[in-house]
Amino acid sequence: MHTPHLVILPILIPLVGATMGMLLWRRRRWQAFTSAATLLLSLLGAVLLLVSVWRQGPLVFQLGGWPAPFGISLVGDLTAATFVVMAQVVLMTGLIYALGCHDRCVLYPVFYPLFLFLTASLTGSFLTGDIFNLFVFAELMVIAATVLTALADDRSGVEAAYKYFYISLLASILWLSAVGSLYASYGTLNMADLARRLAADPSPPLVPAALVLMTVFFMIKGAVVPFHFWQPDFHAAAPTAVSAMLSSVVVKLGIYGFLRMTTLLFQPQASLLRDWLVAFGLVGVFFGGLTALGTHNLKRMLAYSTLAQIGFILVGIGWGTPLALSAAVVLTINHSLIKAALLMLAGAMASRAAVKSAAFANLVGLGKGAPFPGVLFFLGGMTLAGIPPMNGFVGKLLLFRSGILAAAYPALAAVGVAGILTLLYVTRAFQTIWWEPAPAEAKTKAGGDRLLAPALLIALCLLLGLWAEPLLALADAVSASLLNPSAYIHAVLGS
Amino acid sequence: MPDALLWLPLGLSLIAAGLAALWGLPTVNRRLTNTRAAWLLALMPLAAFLFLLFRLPPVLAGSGLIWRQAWMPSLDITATLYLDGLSMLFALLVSGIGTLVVIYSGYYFRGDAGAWRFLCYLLLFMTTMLGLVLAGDVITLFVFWEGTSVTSFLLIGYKTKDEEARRGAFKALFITGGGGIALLAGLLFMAVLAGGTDYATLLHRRDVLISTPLYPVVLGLIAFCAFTKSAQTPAHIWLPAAMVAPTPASAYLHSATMVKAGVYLLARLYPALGGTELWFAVLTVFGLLTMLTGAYLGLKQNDLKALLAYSTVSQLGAMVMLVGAETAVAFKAVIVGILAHALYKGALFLLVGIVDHETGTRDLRRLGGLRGTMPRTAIVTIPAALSMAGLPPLFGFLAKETLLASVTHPQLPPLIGTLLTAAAVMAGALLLAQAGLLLSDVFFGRPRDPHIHGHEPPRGMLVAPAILTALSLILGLLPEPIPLATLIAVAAKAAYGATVKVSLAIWAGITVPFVLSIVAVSLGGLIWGFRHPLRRRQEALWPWLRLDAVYEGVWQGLMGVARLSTRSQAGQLRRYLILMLLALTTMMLLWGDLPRPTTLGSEPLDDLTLLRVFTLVLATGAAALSIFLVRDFFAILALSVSGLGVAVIMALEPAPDVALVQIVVDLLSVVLLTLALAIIPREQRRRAWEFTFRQTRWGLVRDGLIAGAGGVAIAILTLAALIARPRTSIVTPYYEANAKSLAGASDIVGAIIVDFRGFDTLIEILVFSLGGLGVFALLRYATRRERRQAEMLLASSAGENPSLAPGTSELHDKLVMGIGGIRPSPFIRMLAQVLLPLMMVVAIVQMMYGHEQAGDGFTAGVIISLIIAFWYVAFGYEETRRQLPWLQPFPLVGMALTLALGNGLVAAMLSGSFFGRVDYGQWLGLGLPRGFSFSSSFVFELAICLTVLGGVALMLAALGHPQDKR
Amino acid sequence: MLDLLKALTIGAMFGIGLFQLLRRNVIRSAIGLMVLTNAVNLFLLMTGAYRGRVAAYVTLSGERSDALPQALVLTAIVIGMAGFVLVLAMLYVLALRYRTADADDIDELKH
Repeated sequence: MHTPHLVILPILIPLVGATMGMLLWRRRRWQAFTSAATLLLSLLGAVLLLVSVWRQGPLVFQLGGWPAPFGISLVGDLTAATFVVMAQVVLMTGLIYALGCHDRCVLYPVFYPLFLFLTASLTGSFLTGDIFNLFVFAELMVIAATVLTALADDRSGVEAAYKYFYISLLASILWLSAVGSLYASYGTLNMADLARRLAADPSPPLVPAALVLMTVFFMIKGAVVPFHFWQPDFHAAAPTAVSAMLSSVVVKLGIYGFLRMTTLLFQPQASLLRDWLVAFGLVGVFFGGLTALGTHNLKRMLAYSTLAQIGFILVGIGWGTPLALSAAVVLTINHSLIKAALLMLAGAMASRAAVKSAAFANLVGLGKGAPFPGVLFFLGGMTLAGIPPMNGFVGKLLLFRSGILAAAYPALAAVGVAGILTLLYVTRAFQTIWWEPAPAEAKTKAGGDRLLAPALLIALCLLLGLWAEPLLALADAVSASLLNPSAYIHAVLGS
Repeated sequence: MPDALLWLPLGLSLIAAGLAALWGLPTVNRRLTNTRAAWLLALMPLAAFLFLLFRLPPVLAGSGLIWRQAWMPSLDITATLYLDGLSMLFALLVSGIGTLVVIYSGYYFRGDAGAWRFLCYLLLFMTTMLGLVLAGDVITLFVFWEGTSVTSFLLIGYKTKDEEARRGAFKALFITGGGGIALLAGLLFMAVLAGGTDYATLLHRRDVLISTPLYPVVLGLIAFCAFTKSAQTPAHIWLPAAMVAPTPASAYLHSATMVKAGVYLLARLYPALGGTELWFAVLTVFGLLTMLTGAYLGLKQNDLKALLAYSTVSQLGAMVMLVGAETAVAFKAVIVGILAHALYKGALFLLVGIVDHETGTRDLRRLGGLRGTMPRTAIVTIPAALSMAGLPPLFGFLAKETLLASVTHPQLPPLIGTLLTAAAVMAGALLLAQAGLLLSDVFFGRPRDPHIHGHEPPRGMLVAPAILTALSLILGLLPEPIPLATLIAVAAKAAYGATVKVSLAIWAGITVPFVLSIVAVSLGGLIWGFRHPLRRRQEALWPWLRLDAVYEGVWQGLMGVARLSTRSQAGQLRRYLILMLLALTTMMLLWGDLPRPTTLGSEPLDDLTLLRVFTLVLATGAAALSIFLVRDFFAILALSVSGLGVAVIMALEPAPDVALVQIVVDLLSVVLLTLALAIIPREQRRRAWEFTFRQTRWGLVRDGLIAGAGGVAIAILTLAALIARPRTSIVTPYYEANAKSLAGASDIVGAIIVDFRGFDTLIEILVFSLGGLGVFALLRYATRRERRQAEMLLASSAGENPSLAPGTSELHDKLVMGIGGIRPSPFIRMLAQVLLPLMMVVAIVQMMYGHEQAGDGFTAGVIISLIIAFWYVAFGYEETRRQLPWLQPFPLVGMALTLALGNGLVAAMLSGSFFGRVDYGQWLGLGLPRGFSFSSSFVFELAICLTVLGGVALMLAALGHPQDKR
Repeated sequence: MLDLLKALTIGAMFGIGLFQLLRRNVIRSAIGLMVLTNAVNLFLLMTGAYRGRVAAYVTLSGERSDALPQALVLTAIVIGMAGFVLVLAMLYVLALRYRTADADDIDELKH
């Protein structure tokens, strides 16, 4: 069934679920149930979309039946579909974690609707083919994430949300200015249409400014150094089920944006943009690695490490060769899975501590009673560090290989040197929690959050490492579709 | 030739590891003693060993066995296993010694219930190590290479409670992990240059590889990796530190198998990379250095394991040096050396483990005269030690002979040759002295420490070392052990490429090597004789010269930088914003390439010009005023004035719809801002105000500059956009043409909002309702939590901040009376009563005719909400709630969204596309008055209105009454 | 001429907004947010393609103003409003939590 309606399902189903959740606001059990059911349903829809798109090419849904570029088009090309599936898989595990965790905030009637709104908005921003519609979705995402974080049990949640929200509002102001500049230059908002016209005539005076503004917007969304400041505070303070999503899939909006900008929207300026991305990526790789090594809190460490991982991905996008792009895609998927898993484990360990906090000082020796999360965390750490046979290795392999083929030796050397940092901070965290003896007065709570969700994710990582071929094939297909923008444009505008 | 079962050794040891893990289950663990379990587990590696023995004939015949398994076809990477002479030799060592070590550990961990963990790690390591030596392509090699690093990390850190163990494990992983990354890069370089990952292609592309300008890079990476793994100076420091591992692990990893992986790698890649000046230089220099350093430092040690570790370092140096020397005899020497060293060093480690286990110490200064109490152990030790000393008739002697023979090889340049010879003799002498030290000061002489009484270990514990010792004895004594000789020859050939003639006769007549070894022996004897003064002198010499200190320095420096970089996350939002804005400004300046408008615009003046100018000035002025007004309330008023000014500007654009919404939003936000003001304690705001301008002048200047830059940028953009008017828009003409015909609206903006871009609006109202939900949730849940805290605080420090305390009079007033706290006059109340229904009607009409005139669901919603706000003011929270029971936020929003989505879906059914437009009136055949259309658009407007109502109701409920009592 | 004035106005409001945004007094920085939003909305409105003489109604004839930016601005206004209110709510909770309205005192999460 290769029908355009597939494209809107992954957005619509969570919205419906959220609405039901609101109507059921007094019945928490029902709320949780319907939310899980709807999310699962939309995940199935997303997978269906991916398969169908992979087999038969891009799908476009013209909302309201208005022809592009006059209406709003939702574009399900391979890239978008891949990101959607990735996001919804992780979000599904996040919901599973939420169902099994002891946070008080998941009992609030707003939690599950907000979580579904987060899902819908993230999905929408991947699928939309209209720059203003992207803004609207991004806003929805920001508000959902902000409220979810502000409600965290951690008393600093509001502070984190406040910082994030201000910075995000700044980002949206930049985006609006970019939208204005582009409309003033080309008189259209449809990405495909813009791409076509911009490629035909990149001269209008407002275009460079728009390019910078969009870049910065996506850098803020993707927590790219030096636009990352919201991220460590935010991800460390959010409820575990949420922070796992934020640090893994939500930041991927930035990555998605850069993929689109370099291959679709700004083709004439792509080479320039790629150079920036490599530069920013390298900065991020070192900064993220160092800060992750230097910080005092497990969740913050993982948040900082996201900066570094995003850096690796940016370098891949910046190299821009087919192989490098598929490396970036593989790294993106791996990071989404593993970072979610690790943050869940961090939260689970914190939930075992007497005081619920992920500060290392608070977690020392907690692992003694918990070997299973220890094994998971060790495997996860190895994934992050790209140690075979975990799937992180596949990404590292691809990145190095593409770097060699692209003859980008200095950047490659930098990436290699920074790579060791990952191993260091992961190992240090593992030793602190599972090897160091606990201080005498420390006492642990019996049973913490459930470990099903992280276990699933780690298992997936192991599977994708041992049996990497499907992932690689998908990544290759994605990078091929990215490098063939005319197909996208044709699918949206026809003729 | 293909061999379908080549994976079997790996599989067996992996299964064994799994069994060991199973044995960890309490029920099993209770039933099975460590020794018995170890014997059982040892069967698996034994089976692997036997399997390899069965594969010996074809390998000796010179044909390699290959097993392939597709892994990542799209990168044409196949997992390949390859068994030739070289891998056979190593695989035999790994599996054979592995078997013995497993048995031994059973005794070593007698009565330790946690031993299963150790055995599990050990067998996992064995798997990876077998994989490493059996790998048939570089990717597989790398996979298992990293595996050995990780598993050895686990083994070194086995005694997790011990600080030293953790440090040692970390150090080892740090160094070997760094090597791993270099290895990956190097191997990928080779693969890319040679166009293939498996040895078959790789090893025959020497010409390509050594001729590229990248050759030094590749060689550097590979050599770096090999050196880190094989503990070459200065990377050797991890090996002594790794001695905190349980002795079986040390015996297995750090003498027999893993540390030789580097040598294996170099030997394996010799045909592809070797035989160049650079190769010779690098390997010889580092090998030589390491050989001497190890030998020298070994003599200095008091800890037996450290002594053995350093002598291992020395031996590894010798091997690397030999691989560099690139002569046939050198490769023979490498292979023989590996074999001999594995046999005697493995045995010695195990024996030291026994001594440690039975006496409780490994300190040379406390041990002594154990031959009395531990005769059997002594008997087993002596031949092993002699083999280490390189004395005939033991196998070690042969190793030393071949070593000397290869350094005195005529093919070497004379000068270097003599240098190498001297170094080799020196190292040999030192090793002999150490072996002597080991024997004499542990087993002979008299006991130095009365508290130490050794006693014999159980017989089983001696099995492993005894077998190893026996081997080095037998292999030495046997005249010409033919199969072994052929194996060594084949192995050497696999590495060297050409045939290597091997004879293992101990007595080869009076040759140069023989003379040299006599020199070495006598020199060693001399050193041994003077060992005590020499060792004291060593202690005195350069105590500051410690490479560990360098490592520590590097690590501390790294951590310092790391901590410093986290300082950038200072926690203050303003700093973040400023840094981001600065970065943005920089990017704009570098790449923004702002347009330089030539004209200043040519908009002709009209009769409205004066008004336009006035409003522009008004908006700006009021905004500017909001900076300087001291009272927050006035600042807010200024803001609202500026907002109204903006509205008028919009109206003059002309954009009446926007202006309308801007006005209502402005009013609404002022109301809410005032409410917020009312609930943020006054003196807090006063304190904050004091800070507004009290900061460094530089700070003000900086902010001013940032603001200025932003302003100028936007101004330029605006001007550039304005002077280009009128332009062609791609989309607008379509809207203008079709608003009436397709969307049934004469208000084009309304048509876009509700029809053409209706989806935007749907998400927009979601955002709005979410804002409402957020405010509600925050003020209900977060506040409740905070208030609990605040009460606690207040309880402690009484009334430091009265406005926060619940139940104060101010709060009470808010509850029973209007928000202002003053009871409004009856007139006001009546007004409110009347206005509500009136405004509702207005709102409905708004929506009905929204498509003809300005105004839409949003405005309608806000209008009603404003009245409700008025109610809050007039009646206060409780009464409003009582009088308007339908004001239930969640259901309102929920229903609204249901309406919107349902509408979209119904439209999808009727018009075939989600959010398509349907005229229900027509469809139902209702006769409706002119100008009023009952269409999907209308339903959507209704949904918008409800959402806004719900959202605003939530906001007001929350802000109007934060102190909920539930 | 008028174009220049418009541009300057919007630029000035944008600058004022940024300056207010960077104040330590949280109320002021909230005000700054509002001003900033207004400025950007105006900018968006000014990117309309036509020099409007009459409002964008089918019924009106003459040089209509560009309808699309108006629609976008409408959406942006509403969204900005929602965000603004959320900010206020957070400010209230922060005032309870940190006993301050000074942005620089809200720095518990760091390093």
